[in-house]
Amino acid sequence: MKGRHILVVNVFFAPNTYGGATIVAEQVARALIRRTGARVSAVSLIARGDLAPYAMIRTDAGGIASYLINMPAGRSGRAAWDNPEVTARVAALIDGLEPDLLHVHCVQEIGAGVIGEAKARGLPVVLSVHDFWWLCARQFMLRPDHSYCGQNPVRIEACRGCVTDFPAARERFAFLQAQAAQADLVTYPSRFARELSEGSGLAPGRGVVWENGVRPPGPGFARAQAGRRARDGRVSFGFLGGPSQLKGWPLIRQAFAGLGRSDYRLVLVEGSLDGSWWKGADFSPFSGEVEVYPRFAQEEMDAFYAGIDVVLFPSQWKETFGLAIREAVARGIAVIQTDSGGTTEHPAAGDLIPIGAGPNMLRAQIAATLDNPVRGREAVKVQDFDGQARAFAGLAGPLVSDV
Amino acid sequence: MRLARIRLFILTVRNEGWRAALGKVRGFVAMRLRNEFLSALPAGERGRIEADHRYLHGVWRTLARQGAFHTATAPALLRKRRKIALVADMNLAQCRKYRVEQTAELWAARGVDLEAAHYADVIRAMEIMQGATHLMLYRLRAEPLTANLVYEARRLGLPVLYDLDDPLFSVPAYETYANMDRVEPALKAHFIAEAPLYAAAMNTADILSFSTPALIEHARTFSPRPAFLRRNFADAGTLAAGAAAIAARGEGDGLFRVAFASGSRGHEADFAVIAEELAGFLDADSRRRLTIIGHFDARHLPAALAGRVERHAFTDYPAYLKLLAQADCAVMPLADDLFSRCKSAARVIDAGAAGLPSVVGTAGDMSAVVRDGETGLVAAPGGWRNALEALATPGTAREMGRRARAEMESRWAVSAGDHILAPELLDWVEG
Repeated sequence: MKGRHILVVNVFFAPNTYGGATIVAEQVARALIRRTGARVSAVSLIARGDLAPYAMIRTDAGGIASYLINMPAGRSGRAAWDNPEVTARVAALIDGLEPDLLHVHCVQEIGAGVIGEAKARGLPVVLSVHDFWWLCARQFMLRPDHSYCGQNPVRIEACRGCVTDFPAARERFAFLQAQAAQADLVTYPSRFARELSEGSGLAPGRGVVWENGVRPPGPGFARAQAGRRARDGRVSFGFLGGPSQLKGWPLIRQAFAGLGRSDYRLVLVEGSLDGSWWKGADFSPFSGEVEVYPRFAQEEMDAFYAGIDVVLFPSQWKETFGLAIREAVARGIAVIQTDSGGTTEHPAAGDLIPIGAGPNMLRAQIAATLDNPVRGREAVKVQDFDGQARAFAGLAGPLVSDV
Repeated sequence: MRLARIRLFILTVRNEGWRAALGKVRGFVAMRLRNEFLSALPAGERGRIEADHRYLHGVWRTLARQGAFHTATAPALLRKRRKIALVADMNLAQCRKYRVEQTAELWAARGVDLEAAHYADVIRAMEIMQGATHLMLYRLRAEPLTANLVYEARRLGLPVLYDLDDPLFSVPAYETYANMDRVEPALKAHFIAEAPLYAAAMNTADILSFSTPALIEHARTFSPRPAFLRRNFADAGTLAAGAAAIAARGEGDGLFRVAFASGSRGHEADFAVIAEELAGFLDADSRRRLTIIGHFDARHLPAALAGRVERHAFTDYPAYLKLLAQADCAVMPLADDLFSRCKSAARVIDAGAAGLPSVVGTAGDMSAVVRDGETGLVAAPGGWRNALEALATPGTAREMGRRARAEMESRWAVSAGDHILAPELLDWVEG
């Protein structure tokens, strides 16, 4: 990939880092620059009232030219998956930058039309699917009551009772499939995601598993972790998911409420950009110490993970990967998790809690951990971003070799 | 669907309480009524658009907080591509033509993209800078908007050029400009008050370009910035309009017409330089006429010329060239003052495009574009009458006019030759 110019498209990108897919998009981009000599530009979205609709701002994200397109308020539902204004902006950017490859990540609100525009210009396209946006009008395969949909494969006709505008959902489904079919390569972070997506008709036969990387622990991590454990004998649980039913927060509350113990710490990460996740939250069900941990950057994650022993991951939907789980097991941190799709495809997966189970199973695993704290668990080797970048270069290299 | 929503409502009440649940219902209903969807984008600054110098202040503040204010090298530079953002005062048609449209044509011929914006259209001006590698400012004065444009250019790492074709920065040039004596004192005072603002704007740039060597020399007494030449030339539109004007030329009525064109007010002082000699020339033959095109205060016409003058109002460019083409030659006298010495040969180009020879003086840059005796005549003070008599020799004006046109199509058509574009400016963009 040396000297090749990749234009990355993702709904968020630095300096607005938000969500697991964004971390992957950014870190792989940096690793590609560092390890392969590729050049990367990125385009993502912002929403500001003081900037003209669809105005573009250029900034810099660690050597990556980052183009931010400003989205106006009051966009229609259709614009979430097909927005000609954004498509035109990205097309103009392609014309101006003349990249060698378009790498499409999460394009919710950008729209999938960027794939067709790139192909119309003869540009190779790699589509990296990170979630179920390509299959589900509600993105997460959650019903309106936030229970997991469970379709496998997804048949749009079965979505009739789930979406508010079924004809629009059907049109969306067809449009996204048509766009995805134009990609030269479609990557998925897990076997689960690939099988479900391809089985549902998304670019069948073009998919490969491209496992996400995570940031490995730094050289000072083990000492910091040991130091904290020596200072504080309590088991520390960490939760990175936010206060949604989707991520299982109500289950955590209920599980701890009936626990009858106070010899623990629960560390809740404030992951929102605006600090709204835990503002005014009711922590009265918790007898132990509850701490809200500020949002942290990738390079700051060791400090957070050194402070916890167990990651709670009671996700109530089938996720495609689960970065936090890999980050944890790479640091010798235990995980209590649900049977949530691609999040389980790692070597340290233990007793999985079924999705939809009540709080009792979670409570039992928490209690068992408190009774027999396993501290100093061996770290598991998982892929890092450099490895993921190498894998990408191996996958995408042939697409640009004759450019 | 409805049942699922009810279940969600009950769940939310149980987990988050009545108030939160009702709030979510209100938000959902409002969104549905507006046919909107729930965006994943966090609501950024809610302020309204300030379409003036404050336009990007909110963005700058956010980027500064994010540690993302400055940018690295423009990506297009790494790709060896160049893209110029040109922010200009386009209020005057001739300024737009010679310094905006011609700049675009000149760089397009080099494979360099150029996008232009009127400076008052701040949203577009800031937008075109985002994908640019260079910023050019034309005819802007120092004011908060200019400062903010340059500030954004610095944030984006764009080198900045300032371009000008009149000594708007010079109090001495305005104060001694003969044509200024014909305008209201308040207007002259206004221009003089503005001069330091143009000088200040020049000095925010890295490099300067001017339309004539004399203007460069004069600008150097106001700015330490490196200054280079970018002459006006015969652009494709000019040559096409000129060709159309020549084609529309009639068989002739036996009259010999001398054209004097004035694109703005105040050129009566220029005319006065040759008024006496011109009157003598016209008097010598009843078939001679003076054609005045554009602005001119008739009170300044010598009485002797009455009845020998044809007047045409200021018009658009193609019509102006057609009027020129009806004449036999064009005269371009200039009062010999500091301001006029800085002037370009734009009107020589207009005349040449329309197939007319020009008679020019020694002030200004016109004599650099006229090949004396070939495409026109350079008249020393007192030599205008003789020059016109020479042109009035049957067949002479037409032949010189043909050569002037050919000269425009060859030497003065768009090119990056150093008689049009200084090599340093070429290097500034392409180097």
